[in-house]
Amino acid sequence: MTLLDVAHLNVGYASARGSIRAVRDVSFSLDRDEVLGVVGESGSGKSTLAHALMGYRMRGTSMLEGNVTFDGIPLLRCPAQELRKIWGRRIAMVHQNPLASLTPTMRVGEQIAETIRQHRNVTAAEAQSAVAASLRAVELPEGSDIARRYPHQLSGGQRQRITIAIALSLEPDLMILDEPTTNLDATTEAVILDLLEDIRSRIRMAMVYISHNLGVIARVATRVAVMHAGEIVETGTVSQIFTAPAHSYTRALLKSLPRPGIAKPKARVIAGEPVLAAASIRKSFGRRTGTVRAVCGVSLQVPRGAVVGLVGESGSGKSTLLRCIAGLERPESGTIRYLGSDLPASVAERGAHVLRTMQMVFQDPESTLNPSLAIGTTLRRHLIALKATDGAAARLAVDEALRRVRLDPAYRARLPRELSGGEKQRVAIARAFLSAPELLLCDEPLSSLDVSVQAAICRLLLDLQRDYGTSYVFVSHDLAIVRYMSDRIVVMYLGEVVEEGEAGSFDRHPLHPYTEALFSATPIPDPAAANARVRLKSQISDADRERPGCIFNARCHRRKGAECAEIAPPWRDAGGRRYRCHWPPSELADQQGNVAHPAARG
Amino acid sequence: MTGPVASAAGHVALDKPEGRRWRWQMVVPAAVVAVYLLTGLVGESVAPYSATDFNTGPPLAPPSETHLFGTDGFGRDVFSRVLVGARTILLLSLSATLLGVGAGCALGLVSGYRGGAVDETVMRLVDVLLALPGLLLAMLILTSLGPSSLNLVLAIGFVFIPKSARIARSAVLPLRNAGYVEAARLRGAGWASIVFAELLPIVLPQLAVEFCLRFAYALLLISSLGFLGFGVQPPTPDWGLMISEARNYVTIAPWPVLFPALAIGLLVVAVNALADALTSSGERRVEQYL
Repeated sequence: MTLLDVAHLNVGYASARGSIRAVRDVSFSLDRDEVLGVVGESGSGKSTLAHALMGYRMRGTSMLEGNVTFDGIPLLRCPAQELRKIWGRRIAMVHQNPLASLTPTMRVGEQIAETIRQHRNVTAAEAQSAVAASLRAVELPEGSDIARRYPHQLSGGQRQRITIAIALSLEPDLMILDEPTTNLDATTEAVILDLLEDIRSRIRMAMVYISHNLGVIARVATRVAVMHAGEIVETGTVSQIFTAPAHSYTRALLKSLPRPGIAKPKARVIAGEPVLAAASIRKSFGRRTGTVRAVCGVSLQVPRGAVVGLVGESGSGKSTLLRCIAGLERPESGTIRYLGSDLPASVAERGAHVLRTMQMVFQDPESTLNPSLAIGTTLRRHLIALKATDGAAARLAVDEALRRVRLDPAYRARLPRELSGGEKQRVAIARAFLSAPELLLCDEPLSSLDVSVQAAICRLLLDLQRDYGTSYVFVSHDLAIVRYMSDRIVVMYLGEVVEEGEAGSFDRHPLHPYTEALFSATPIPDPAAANARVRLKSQISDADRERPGCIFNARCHRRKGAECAEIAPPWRDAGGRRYRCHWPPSELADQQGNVAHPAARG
Repeated sequence: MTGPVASAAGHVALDKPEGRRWRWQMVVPAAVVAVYLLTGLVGESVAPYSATDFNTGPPLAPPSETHLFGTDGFGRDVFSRVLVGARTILLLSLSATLLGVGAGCALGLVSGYRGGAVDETVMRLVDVLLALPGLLLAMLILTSLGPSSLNLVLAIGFVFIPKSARIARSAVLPLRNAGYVEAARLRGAGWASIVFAELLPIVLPQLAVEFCLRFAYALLLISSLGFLGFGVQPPTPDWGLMISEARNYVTIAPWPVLFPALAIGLLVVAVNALADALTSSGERRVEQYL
């Protein structure tokens, strides 16, 4: 039975650069039990579609045509008063950024109650029990004081649970989710997806799930609509889309996905002294609540010509370690040897040779380039600072650098705001390769890019790595990408290394329970692959750093016994790998054997 | 993960381009300010009488064909004095604003970028200065230095430093850890080159707004100081001073007060409106970034 019927929907809005038609002639229908996954890249009109489905006119909307019929009600022709009765009660929405959709000055329990009171005449006691029921529905511990906390006191995953609780509180017929897990760590994302799946099995409800990530869509959706440039280019059941995609765009999108077990060809690693050898790096930050040890005695070696992947959740200290190596943060202790000599801690004390040969690519493409300077100016400045070059030669070098990252040299005259996120990251890579570096530090260079753009940037980085023989330290929270890019993988948790080894050996099996959880959290773009369920229920907590015993103990699903809480686990060797755990490799493998590992399925 | 979706950026296409349009909110105040600047340049040569000559007509004569704005108590032509007075006040307030906003912004940018002890020291000093009312502080400086045009500029410039420093500091704070700043540090750029070559161009639109607002305030300050006798000394035609001199006859002959007051008022309103227009165009620019 059809719940939502969309026919010839067109949405346009006025922007500073002219009027944009963001949604073009979109038609589809949705049954009461269906979950429609809408997939597309940023800028493809997904969010505009989500708002139009509610009959909501976003600011600046200049055109809203066509029909959206929800349970017989024509939403686009509905007076605002009627719409307000439908929103929240019958159609609920969950946004990408929970921190922006929650009121910062209100306790979260009160925010759930507010939604209930808005639509129903309830007593205080009834509202309280409804709030408790909503919190139960999103599996937040009931007895705890979570309802009495403010949004900033919750973790990202807990906040998103609260917005889902608000959406569920009135048992809507339709829930629209706009990239609800995009801002979350992979491990938290996996838990939220489990929750949504579970809710769907309990409550009869239709969902429109919007994401740029096909792996996520494969897990939650029953039907998929692929959006490109404002149009729906293909719809079908999940298995149709994944096994027999009809449209070329869908095929390209599928091909660009990182799949576990797929890796680049091995790099030519040159034996001998490593490019970089950091030993016992420590760094802590002062906070109001006390000092937080971000990196605790980490050692890292980067063989010449190799890509070392550094992986972990946010808060694992991987970025801090990278910034210590770059000289942007001053570690409290530890030594860094680089190209055979000791490296001063601060970038200000480092010689010209070090500045020239060690380069960095930053995470956020929006802030990596100075918005007020043309691309050419940014590149020329960097070049002239590192190498004494005259104007004409610099210009040639800048053009060459742009070509190297497959951008037209005419881009030199453009401002960063005229470039897409992927193009900005290309320019940042061009900047890093102006001086043919020995070591490139990549600080999550892909995490704010679309999946298809990620694939292109990955390839570019690997091509440059091969051509220049540069060694990389590649930081990411995405184990699939790290596996694809790296020759060696280092897994970090709460400022410590918990496992490291040859990248290839990770294909066979994870060892450390934390690595296992990371693997299991990676969404696989294959609906047939029921992902192994290893879920970290609790949140990463700074308090764990201070406890004796294993730092992972509080979240570990393979706890051995009392020694886990009391004795720091030993390093254990297992054929080219080493990890810190009380379980020896054979016993870990036995336990993990019955849990199918994504890579094992190839 | 092999093939990228080549150039299939998936961006929605523009239906029709829309050119940059001049907006009257910007054009009207800019035109008014331009007229004032022009008057400041050529006022002396187009004025019908000398600004300092006594008895160009009967004293306190009402506006007429020969004396457009009437005459003051000494028989000086008010129209000529208003025209010639434009240069004095524009020159003084522009140089005071340049000095004060320039020094204040430089201080704020450096303090905001460097942070730590530098920032703490500068900002506490700024707090102390901000505790004193602007006009009072200017009078204090002028009484100790003695009234002269140079001292007037110095005094008002000094009054502007703390507020401009605050504005520049708050503009630069969110940018200090941006990727392009760290990239500059990694190529060995020092703090001065980062502040003035990387950060200044970004915050310049915000500082332009601050400049306009301070300029309007400088006009008022100079007029107020002139009125109180601390500013420009007679017989130089100064709008504030003119109001002060003619205020005794305001009930029988309002024109020597009215016209300089109108001249001040219109300019201050126009400069403020220009600052508003600049602010909203800055906001539009920000929207484009998003």
